[in-house]
Amino acid sequence: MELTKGKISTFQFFTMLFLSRTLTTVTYLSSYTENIRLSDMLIQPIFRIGIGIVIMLPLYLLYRSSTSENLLDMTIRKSKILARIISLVYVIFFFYFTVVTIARLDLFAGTIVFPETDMTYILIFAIILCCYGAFLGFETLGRSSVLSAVFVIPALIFIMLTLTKKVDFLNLTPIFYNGVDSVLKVSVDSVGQTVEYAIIALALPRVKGNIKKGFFIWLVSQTFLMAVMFFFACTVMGNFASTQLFPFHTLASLAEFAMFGRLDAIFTSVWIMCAFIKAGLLIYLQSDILTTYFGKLKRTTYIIAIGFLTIIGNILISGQIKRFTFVDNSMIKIVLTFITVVVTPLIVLVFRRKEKKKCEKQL
Amino acid sequence: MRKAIIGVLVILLSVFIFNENEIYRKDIRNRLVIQGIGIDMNDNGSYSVTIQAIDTNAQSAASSDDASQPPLKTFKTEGNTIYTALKSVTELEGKVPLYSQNRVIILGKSITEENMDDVIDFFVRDVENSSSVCIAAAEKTAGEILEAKNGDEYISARNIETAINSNEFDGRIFRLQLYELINRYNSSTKDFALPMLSVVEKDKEKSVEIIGTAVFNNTRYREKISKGETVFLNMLYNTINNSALSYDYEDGKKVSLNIVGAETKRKIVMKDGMPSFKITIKLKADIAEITGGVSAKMEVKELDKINSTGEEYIKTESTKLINKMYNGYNSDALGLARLIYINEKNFFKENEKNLDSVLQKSNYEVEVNLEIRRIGHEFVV
Repeated sequence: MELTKGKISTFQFFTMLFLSRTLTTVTYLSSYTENIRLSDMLIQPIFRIGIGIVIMLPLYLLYRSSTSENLLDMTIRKSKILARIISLVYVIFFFYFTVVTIARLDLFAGTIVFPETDMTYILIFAIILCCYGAFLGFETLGRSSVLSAVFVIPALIFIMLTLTKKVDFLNLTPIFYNGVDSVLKVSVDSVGQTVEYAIIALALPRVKGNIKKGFFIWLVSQTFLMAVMFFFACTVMGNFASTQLFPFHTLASLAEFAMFGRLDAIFTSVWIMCAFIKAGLLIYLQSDILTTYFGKLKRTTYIIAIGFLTIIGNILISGQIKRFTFVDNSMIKIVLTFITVVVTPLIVLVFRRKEKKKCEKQL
Repeated sequence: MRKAIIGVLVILLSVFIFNENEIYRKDIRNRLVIQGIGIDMNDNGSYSVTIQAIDTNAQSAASSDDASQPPLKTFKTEGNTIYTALKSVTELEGKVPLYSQNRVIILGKSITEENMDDVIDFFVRDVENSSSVCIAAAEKTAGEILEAKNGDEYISARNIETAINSNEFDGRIFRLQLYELINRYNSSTKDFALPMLSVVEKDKEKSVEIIGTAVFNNTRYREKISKGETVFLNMLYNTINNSALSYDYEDGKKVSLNIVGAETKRKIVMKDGMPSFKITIKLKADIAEITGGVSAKMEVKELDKINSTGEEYIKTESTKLINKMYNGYNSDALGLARLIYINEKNFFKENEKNLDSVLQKSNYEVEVNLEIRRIGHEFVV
């Protein structure tokens, strides 16, 4: 029952995760950081790296000896029911993030791109496209990620470079003006926004190559990207950034190059590409877990079912800002991340230790 | 499976594109392309909004030669809020306003003197508004600026925007875009400066001119400074790129410099418990003109004199402006309070509520470093 139906390289895997996390960064909502000063947002990524490393320790201990099977495979040997419960938790977590990812895209498109338009068709269209990505499979998503990264990374660098003329260091604020607590809180929030830790927990056996190196490069690169984007948002827009729903989109709209203004169109395409990869990957993982651990139906059927439920979920949220703020809740994300990335691997780790001790006693 | 998915996507795309009630509901033909918005307040407390928009009906009838300067129309509407006033233009024209092409927002004296807080939110909240739109203050009413005609044609908002954006080449103009205004608006002192516009009539021809810079204290208009003073405001604020500057360097001799590069560094140190600001202005300039006849040679001594008198002149004028700003107008349009906030956060926390008096009592030192780059065709000994 192993999830090893085709492996991708470390480079492809972490590129996929990089794009997935990039989407969370670029769709950053300023409402998450009401009590934090701008320069603290530049410090926050450093805290994030520390928290990221700490919460990944149980997974590191779990996969230290072998990455040939994932934590669900390890559990199923001990208890089939427990394995199913854990797999269901992951499915719920990934489904929740799929809905939130599309909901943010919907909020963006519905507020900024097509403010006058009913988003239903666009939503259905986007979700079917993501389901198609999931249907094509893990390897295809990995390859598409590398291709997308060839556009996404230079596009982001280009936008940032065009903004250098508008940088004003006077827009920075004193560090820790409101104390360290608020910075820590935002850092934990930011970790909670990172579904990729849970993806690593489950998909690691599908990756070949030097995982440790790949993980650290991924962690540092996405944190660096976040720091650079916050740097430009803070120094170019100053306090104006906190008045904007999607500050990074506003930042891109201020970018100019020669006779070309408003580079937010490039930014929007980055956003759409990353959303396709992220939602496609999440739907794929849900379908794969359901096929592997619940069995009875084909993967395609699960994809269609997940796609259908995602459409229903997003239609219910679309155009309802109260529902969106209720669903896109940082506390829900933190709790789910903690369960899937810390608690679950620890449970499996305890089982493994007991099993090991039992074997040693028998010997 | 693949064919089925592609089929569904094609159907959805077709529905999406051809559904007239959706994305194309507000066709461009049904939109009023706004070029400039002027806001004034009436005596009864309602807003009077003047809109300058492209006259699409006249444009389609116009010849292709006029394509660069589209025919314009103005509308005057009223409402209790900016939004309701703008929205009511639909009743007059039968078209829905499109703000994304708006070039300039002009605030009349009735707004800048008292009611800025109530008008600014709309321009930040409405997603169609560009964050980089230029903001200007009118000497009298915003309406007269957008309704001003030269002959039969309106003076376009596009031309006003071009004039404001010429601050890149002319230091006598101060520019503030919407995102910069909100940034200053949300700062501790809420002080800023805006270019000031006025309708000028010469020989029966009207034109809209930038007559100086409006200085604000705590979001209220305080005073206007001249275009000559604006050069020093730009120097002190580090927003000067290119400008002309002239001064007397010898009896009866005047020199004109073309500033080609500038950098201002502002530092703060605490002296006897009060902030002391050191502002260093570095300028690179070419000599563009010297009055008093043409000479074959220019002595190095003369060049030194031009340099030293130039430095002294800029220092004196900049110091005068600083005094005027802090002691005369009580305004931190130079943004020096921000330096206290960044570098002396404890002092800032203690004095956040009386920053005006702190800035009045602070010490200011201006240092100028003028470097003459070229002297033109003239020969130097």
